[in-house]
Amino acid sequence: MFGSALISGLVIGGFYSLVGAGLNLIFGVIKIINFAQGAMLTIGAYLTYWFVITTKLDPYLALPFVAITLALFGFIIQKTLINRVLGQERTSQLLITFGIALAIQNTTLALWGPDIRSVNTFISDKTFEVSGIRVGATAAMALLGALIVLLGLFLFLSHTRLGTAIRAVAQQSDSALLSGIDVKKVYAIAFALGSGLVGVAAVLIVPIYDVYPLVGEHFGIIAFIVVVLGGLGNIQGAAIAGVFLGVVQNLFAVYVSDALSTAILFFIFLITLLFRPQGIFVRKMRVS
Amino acid sequence: MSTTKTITESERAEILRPPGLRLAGVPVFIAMAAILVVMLAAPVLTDIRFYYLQVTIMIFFYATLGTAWGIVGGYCGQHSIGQAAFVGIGAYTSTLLYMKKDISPWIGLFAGMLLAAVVALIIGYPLFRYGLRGDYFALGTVALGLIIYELTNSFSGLTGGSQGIPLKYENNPWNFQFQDRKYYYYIGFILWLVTISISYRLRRSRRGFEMLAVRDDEIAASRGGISIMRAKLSAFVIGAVISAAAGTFFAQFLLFIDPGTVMSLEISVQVILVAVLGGMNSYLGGTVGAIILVPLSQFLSSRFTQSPGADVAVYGLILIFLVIFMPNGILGLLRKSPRWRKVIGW
Amino acid sequence: MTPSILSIDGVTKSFGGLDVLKGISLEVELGSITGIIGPNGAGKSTLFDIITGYQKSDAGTILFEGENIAGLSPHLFARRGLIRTFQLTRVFPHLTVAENLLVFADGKNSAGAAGTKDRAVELLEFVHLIGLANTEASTLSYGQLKLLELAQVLMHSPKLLLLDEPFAGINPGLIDKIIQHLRDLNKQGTTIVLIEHNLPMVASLCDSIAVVSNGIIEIVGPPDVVVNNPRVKEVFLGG
Repeated sequence: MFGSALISGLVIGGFYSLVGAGLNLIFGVIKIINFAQGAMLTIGAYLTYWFVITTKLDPYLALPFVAITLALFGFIIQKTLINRVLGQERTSQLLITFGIALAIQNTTLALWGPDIRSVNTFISDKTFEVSGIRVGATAAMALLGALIVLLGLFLFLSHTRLGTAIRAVAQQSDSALLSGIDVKKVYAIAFALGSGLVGVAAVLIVPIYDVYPLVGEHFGIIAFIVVVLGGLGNIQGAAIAGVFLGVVQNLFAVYVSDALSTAILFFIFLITLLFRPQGIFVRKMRVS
Repeated sequence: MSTTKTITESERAEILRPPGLRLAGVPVFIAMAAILVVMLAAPVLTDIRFYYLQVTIMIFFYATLGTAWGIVGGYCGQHSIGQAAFVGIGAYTSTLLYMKKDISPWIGLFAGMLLAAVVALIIGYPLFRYGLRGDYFALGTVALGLIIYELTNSFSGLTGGSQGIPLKYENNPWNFQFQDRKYYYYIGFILWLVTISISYRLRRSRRGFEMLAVRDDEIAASRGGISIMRAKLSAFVIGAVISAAAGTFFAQFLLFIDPGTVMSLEISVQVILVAVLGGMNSYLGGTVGAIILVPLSQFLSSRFTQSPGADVAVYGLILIFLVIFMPNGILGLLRKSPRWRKVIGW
Repeated sequence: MTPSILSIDGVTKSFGGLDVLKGISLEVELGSITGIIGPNGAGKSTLFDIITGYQKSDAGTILFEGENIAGLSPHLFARRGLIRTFQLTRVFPHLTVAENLLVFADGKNSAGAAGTKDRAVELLEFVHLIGLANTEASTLSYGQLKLLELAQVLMHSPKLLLLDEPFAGINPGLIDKIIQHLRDLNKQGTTIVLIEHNLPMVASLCDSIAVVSNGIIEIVGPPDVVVNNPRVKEVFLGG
């Protein structure tokens, strides 16, 4: 009982880390709280669904299509909307991403209705055992995908020129500007990258969670908790935080109360914001 | 640039005059008085259709909430996205006391306000203590709203969960119930008027000034002797208390509450929209915003009955538009004029 | 010997391994104008932060009028008569020029309390900003902001004024004006401590100069002594 709860917790946690990674990138680089992350996830899910319906291919094959489309979408949003409010105060930025989230989320709802659609993949029915515990193949695929992506992201940021530029802007945008880096372009790329990551997450989620208008909202909010818990811009921290949250939520659901298992996450969120806003895994950071 | 002559007595008075309606001039005054009289008399004298009465009551409701938000977000600069939590606290406190303990909602009203104040103090103190940057604070209020929502949903034994609680109808004025809906109009009117007065007087007071200073530059405010914590907490608590009162009113008006109706994120968003659209720094902002937004939302929801969510999508677009092009809202357009600026209390 | 209004003893402060202040001790005489000079990064602003409660020192005592003020919350200093300014001018941008002063118009008459509304108008005339009284402070030029800030701190009729680079970035004509204001203030009894880089100006204005370098006060004394000190000459006038 504990074992399977732990394993599912790990799986969903890895997932939370993946969704959080995109948000973290945006948060860490552009320093804005992107409320629209969840809405992007929703779009990614619907895109995956339509891809499967139209091409009759396996949903996992939708990955490049969805990731690139979302990246482009994110790029456009950043250039046309977010760029305009970068000089303003922080809550204006939050409010605009909030507005974007509402617009996207509810347009999806209005256009395609509240029905749940589901998608099957070649491994939908398969499960396998890990030390006596059954694990769904789709779940394992999601976890594997998450790991690959996170690792790839880490390597990209640390070993490529563009990745280094992104890190430079994240740490000190003024100096980055002075050393010749086109900061605005980096912002757009970071937003696009963050959105693309969400696209990947969407493709991995769809076989497990189905497609419905609010699918993104749930994960979107959790992505925030992951990011805040792990520390702004801290990829490793977010990875750990995601897994931690997944495990806690699952264990709480099994042993204490299923209904409150989401509330416990929000509770952890509030406590972190109140008493350790820089994140649990970061030593000391200015958040004021 | 600057002048070297000493100023006249009237110029001095002009500079020192606190923001307020006196500067608007007699014609405006008369117009406002006339409007108020019409508002008071209309339901009684004319045979007004219930639909319009209802819309006006909703305007009072959102104007109250928007004005309360203006105190927290406009005066003090703390942009809370979780006001709905306090509305819900007000609604549920008075309703639960009424349904489970037979306590009149008039008393429950004050109980809800008290509880909201306590919650605001408990959450506000750590939130404000470390000088969290503005958007972290906003996130914190979102988290608060979500927690209260989830808790209400989960403890269904106590709160009726997502099914909500229908209020028992007794048509007893002592229990805040009236058969004639016109009474709700007048109570809503009073609620709105009291809230505007509070905001108006706050703007002219020392406490209000301190909030403005903290909003503009905390550090300059503290070196000038203003306690940042006291300013922020006062604003937060006042906003919470007013929202709770509005919540109780709403519950009594609807005679039914559930988490989606009284404490959803949607309500928080609409409150912000109302305040930002109207002009968050002015005591009249919430009213202007509500007058525009409530009828608009009625129109949208009747137009889009086939597509649920389309109206909220429009809210999102409006929010985007406002933030980019009109962050100071409608009344904010007046802020450059020295005279009108004082009238609206910007 | 005239009493000290401010006594700093052995204040140290380090940031994650970097020792910014290594034991600062200074006595500020009541009614004097003291200048604090030193190379950038020497910790002068940090010292001001520590004195006025924006940062905590790692060690050392600070007495204001004989009372220990270490660790007090920043907003409690104005009431005691201790006001400071910052390197970057801080006013309230969305309030009008007049409101920037009226914020501090209490009307109470206890020492160190904020002034009255009449005083606000007086001060606006004093710094020649009266014509802009009803415009938003965000529209002011840099020099005007400096004057506004000066008027703001004067609303409190401070006993001790700590000025962090009050003359940075303003034209010589305005500098003279401000120096005149400061001299008048000092004659009326306000003690002034200012951080500045301009050694000749500091020498002409101050009764006493403290040179902060490498986290300590290397020398303190009357201007003619300090200016002629070979080490000071080397750091400030030679290089």
